[in-house]
Amino acid sequence: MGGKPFQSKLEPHYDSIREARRNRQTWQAIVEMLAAKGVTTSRPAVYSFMKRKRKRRYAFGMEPDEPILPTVATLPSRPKSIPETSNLSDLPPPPSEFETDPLSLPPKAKAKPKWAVLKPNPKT
Amino acid sequence: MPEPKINHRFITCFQSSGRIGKSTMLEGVLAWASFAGVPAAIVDCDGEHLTLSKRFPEAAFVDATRSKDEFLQLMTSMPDSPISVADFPAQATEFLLDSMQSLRVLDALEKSETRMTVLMFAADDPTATASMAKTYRALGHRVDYIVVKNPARFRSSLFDESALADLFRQNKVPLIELPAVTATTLQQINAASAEQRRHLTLAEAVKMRGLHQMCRFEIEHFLNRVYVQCEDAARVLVPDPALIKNKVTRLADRFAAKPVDEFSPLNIHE
Repeated sequence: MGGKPFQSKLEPHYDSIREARRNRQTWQAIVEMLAAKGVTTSRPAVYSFMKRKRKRRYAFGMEPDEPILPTVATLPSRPKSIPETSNLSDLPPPPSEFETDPLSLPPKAKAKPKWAVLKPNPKT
Repeated sequence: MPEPKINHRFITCFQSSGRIGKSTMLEGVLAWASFAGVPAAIVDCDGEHLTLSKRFPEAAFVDATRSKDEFLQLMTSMPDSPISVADFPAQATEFLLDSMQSLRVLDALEKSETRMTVLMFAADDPTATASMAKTYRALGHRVDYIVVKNPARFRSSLFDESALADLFRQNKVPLIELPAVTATTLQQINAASAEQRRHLTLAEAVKMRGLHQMCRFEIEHFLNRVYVQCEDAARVLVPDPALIKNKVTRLADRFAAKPVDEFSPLNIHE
């Protein structure tokens, strides 16, 4: 037991494969791109490699460091053309789909007349 | 107690049986109303067959038996026409009668000077009989009835012997008997409809030159019989018989007028 853990030969090219996929390249085009770099592989192999990478399973002790959450960026200052509102109560109320009674349903659009009136034709 | 004033008639049928001629009868009533010069409003609520909306392109389909809300919308949008006809689907008796009761439709109709006329198909099958009894128990004498017989579709012998039939006879409820139309004529109407790419009404089919003359005569006979019987039942089909502008010309049946003498049948004098 022991020894060097397995690592796919595609591992060093992970970033370039992902970049190619984001540029909407086909798996076949990626295989050809890798072949140009001297990596002989196949279309299903690249696909399986990327599928496995998506599942983020790492060998014991090979997990990457915890990602550092980005800090909240400072918002740019409000342009002076938009007046600042100091109090929320100054804001106009949001548009409501209800009238006065919250239990009443919003009014429906006027339906078409459902009845059709036949004109008499005494000649028949 | 004075008779309430009637300005509108709402004609429909609440029975649960299918394929007994409900839509055909309503089509006959509409054809007669057109002939008589009485405007009629229609709505098709039978989504399974869509008979009225196929034959009268003006008629919209309204799924009024889907919910009480739809039924209420239909009833509240009833126009001011002298006659309003709604073709409800089969198997909706319970829903319709329950809605009629909970929405107090008859009270509302009375206030709008509308009286209902309910078609009662005198079919002997248990579903038709049960739904007829339920309809009469729910609506009673607050509506008018027309008994319809359709010998091509059903027998009426059990109904004729029933207490309800006696009651209808005592109250002089009009009876309409639909004449049979042969399968050949129906096939020719279907073929002509396919040719025209629309469903022809009987009143339209009778004018189609493509139909064989005898088929057209048969349709004409059907319509004539329906017109005559509808005119006889006009007191429950129109709010006021004075609205009828065009009456059926009735020819005296010379054979029926002179019965055959059993003792000397050949003694015929023109």
